[in-house]
Amino acid sequence: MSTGYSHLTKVGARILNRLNNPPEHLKPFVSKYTKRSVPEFLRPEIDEVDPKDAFETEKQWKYMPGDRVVITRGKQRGNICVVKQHDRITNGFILDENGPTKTVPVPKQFWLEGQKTHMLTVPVALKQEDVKLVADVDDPQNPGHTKTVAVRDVTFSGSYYDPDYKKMMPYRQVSGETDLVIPWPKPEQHEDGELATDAMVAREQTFWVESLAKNPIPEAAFLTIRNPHSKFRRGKLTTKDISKLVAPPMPLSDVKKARLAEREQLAQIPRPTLTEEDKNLIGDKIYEHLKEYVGR
Amino acid sequence: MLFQRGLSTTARVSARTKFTRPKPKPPKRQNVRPPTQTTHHDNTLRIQAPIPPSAANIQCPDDHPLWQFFADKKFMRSPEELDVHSRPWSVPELRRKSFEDLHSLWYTCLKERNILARENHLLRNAVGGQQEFFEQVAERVRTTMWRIRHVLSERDWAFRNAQEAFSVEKESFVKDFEKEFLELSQEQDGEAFERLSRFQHAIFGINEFIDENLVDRRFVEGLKYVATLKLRKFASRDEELLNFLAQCPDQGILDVGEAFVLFTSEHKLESVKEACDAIKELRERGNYVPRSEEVDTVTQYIQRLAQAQLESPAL
Repeated sequence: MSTGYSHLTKVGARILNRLNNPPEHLKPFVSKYTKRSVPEFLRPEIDEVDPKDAFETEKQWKYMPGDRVVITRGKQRGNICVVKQHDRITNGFILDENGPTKTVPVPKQFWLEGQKTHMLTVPVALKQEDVKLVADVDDPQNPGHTKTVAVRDVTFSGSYYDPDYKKMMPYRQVSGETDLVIPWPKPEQHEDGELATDAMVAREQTFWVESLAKNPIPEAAFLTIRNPHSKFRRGKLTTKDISKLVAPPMPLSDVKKARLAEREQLAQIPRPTLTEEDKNLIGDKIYEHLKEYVGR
Repeated sequence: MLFQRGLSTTARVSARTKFTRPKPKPPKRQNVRPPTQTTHHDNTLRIQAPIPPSAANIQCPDDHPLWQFFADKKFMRSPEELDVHSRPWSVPELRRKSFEDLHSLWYTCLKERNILARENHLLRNAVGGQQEFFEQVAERVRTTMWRIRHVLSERDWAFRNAQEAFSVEKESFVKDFEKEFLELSQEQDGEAFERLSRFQHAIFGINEFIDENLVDRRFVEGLKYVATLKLRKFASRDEELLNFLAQCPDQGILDVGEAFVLFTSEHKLESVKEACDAIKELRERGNYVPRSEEVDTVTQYIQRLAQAQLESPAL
């Protein structure tokens, strides 16, 4: 039962991660066995995605819960359904009762309230490419009326504050027709939780640039804002880094070594220096020579 | 020798062996200080009746600091009681907030994460659950926290870059301001001095709130500059001040003591005149602040001014 402090530490996380991250050539093998070991009522119909490829933003999901979509593949092809929720494990959409379902046996400890039989019908997630968005657009032939169309694809541009989602949302347009904006569906309304901040308080501006002489942030705060010893800072190189970046000196050949030793030896030999006496001696010699030839 | 201890040098010298004569007893000390602390070894304890252990004896005050690790004084919140719908603060939202706001938001987040970490730990170790709902909320709170750090770091870089870029155009900016300030008429004095106050805070870091000021070289130079500017503003309206300004070396206030007198005077002609009279008196007496002592002197002036303000809050 006890897990100790393993949820607080990264010790051993790399080894454990290796189990979840099999090498590329073993992936089909591992996924086959995981699929076989998971009971059918827990097993997703479409493949699970890598956590790093999981959708997060609205731009990636394209359709939010509450959107109407038409199914384009499978037995239910042509059915118009409402997106009920996102399936984060498979990047899929779970649709309402018009969508695909499967009937699977469920063990008794997982029975829902009011369930009478082992067989349970559960919805199946659909991939993004298997559904298309359905929207009501103005009908040019019947002015003042709308017609329901399926949208081949959607694109995004700009952003606005959506008071229903309580955050900035991109505008969703029909691909190729940037004027045709399809509004996001209204999400399920919740009361503000205890961690939420009132929108007006969040919006109130309290920071103004006032002085060029005084930093708006006190000096003592910087140690907690950034790490001055971070190895990712510019100009931070350890001895190990430098040894990796700088090429080692070339080893000397035997000939070169011998030459250097010879040079050293030659430098050791004491060189005679010209003393005053020597200079006088030379001078006398030249004088005598000149006297002999020039004076003649 | 068995129980004798000491430094390697002294132990050998002071060791008593059978060959040494016993040392005489030290004389009794006359001025012995009584102990400053008394302990129970001094036999001051009194015997009391034993306290019987009972639940009534274990009472935790409502304001116990450790309650800050609990939400609503609950052992553990259920997943339904958790706030799972709130999102983290976004970076553009945090950019609008002052350092004080961000600082307090940081600590609010930290306290919430402490609560969540305690509950998560209990869930894993005391209850034996493997669910991650506490961790998911904590992760969202953590997102707000790194964004606060990001925004502050970004703000600091912006400040440094602005300082570097402004050093080039500072001179022309100051000159432009000077021109506009001196051109404003007497009726617009209120606006002019409001602008001067913003200007001195922006360029020299001279704050209107006296106790928030940090005196350095820039502050001192600002003091001199602002005092000169003020004198020039009023010199155009009064002959006497014009003469006084002409007598000043380099047509400005160069001594920081004089600058301080002018700086603290009210923005009225009479007050500036009075300040100039005081400066003349200072000059007659030969009172000058040497350049090396300017920062210290101004620090003292500011401290005294702040103290005076504290003592008379009505003014």
